[in-house]
Amino acid sequence: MNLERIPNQTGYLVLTNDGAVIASGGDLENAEHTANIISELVSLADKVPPHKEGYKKLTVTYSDHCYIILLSNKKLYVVKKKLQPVSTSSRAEADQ
Amino acid sequence: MENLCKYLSCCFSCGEDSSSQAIDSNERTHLLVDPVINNTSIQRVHSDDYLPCDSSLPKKTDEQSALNRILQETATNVIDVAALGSHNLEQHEYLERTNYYTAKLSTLAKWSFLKNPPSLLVDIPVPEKVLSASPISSLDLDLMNIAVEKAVNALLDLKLEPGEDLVVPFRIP
Repeated sequence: MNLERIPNQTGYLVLTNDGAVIASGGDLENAEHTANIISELVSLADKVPPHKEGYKKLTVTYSDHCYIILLSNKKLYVVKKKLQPVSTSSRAEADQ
Repeated sequence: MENLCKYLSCCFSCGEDSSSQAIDSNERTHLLVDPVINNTSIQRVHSDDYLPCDSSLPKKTDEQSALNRILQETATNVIDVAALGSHNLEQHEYLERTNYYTAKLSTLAKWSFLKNPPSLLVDIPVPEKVLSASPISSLDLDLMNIAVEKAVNALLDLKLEPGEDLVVPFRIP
């Protein structure tokens, strides 16, 4: 799987269940610190009750970028994406 | 020198003791022998040596006892792993243990929740699609932020109006 082909991505991480980095690239190349924070965040989120159905992805959003975290084949995939700045005109259009 | 020999023989006998224990050792056996037991045996040897030397050679005794003391202190401070009886496993013992542990593990297999703790995220077979999807729209995000903000404000505004007196005197006659 090529994570570099994902549109608007600026970096990616693939982690094991216990937070070890398997692959990384872009902004997140060898980003062990980020990896630790994300695995802690995921284990914290696992404590949120109740979640019988489960969720496909977890997104951490900032004003200009976001982290998309998901679980696949017992590995955590983290992709950092650039957010398209929303211009005031398009927001006004959407509001109407 | 005689003392050293005696001491060594004691050590050897200690080693024998632990190796005899090792015969029926299993995964719960302590690898290190209780240090208290070791200490008492060493001290006993020391006192045995000390008494005869004291009567025969008074001048040498000081030196001997000093040496003995050093020997004893060293012996109490050192954990001689080699003397504790090494667990030399034969090939068939390895196989026996492998089978035993495998059997133990297979009985645990039904407790699958131990292996898979509840997870917020579900395992997705093909992650590309979810990763390629456009992130949450800013409108949805704004909606969520506003809703959470309202909820927080509502919680902060929560007030209790006292209806009755908090302190009630007991009417003890």
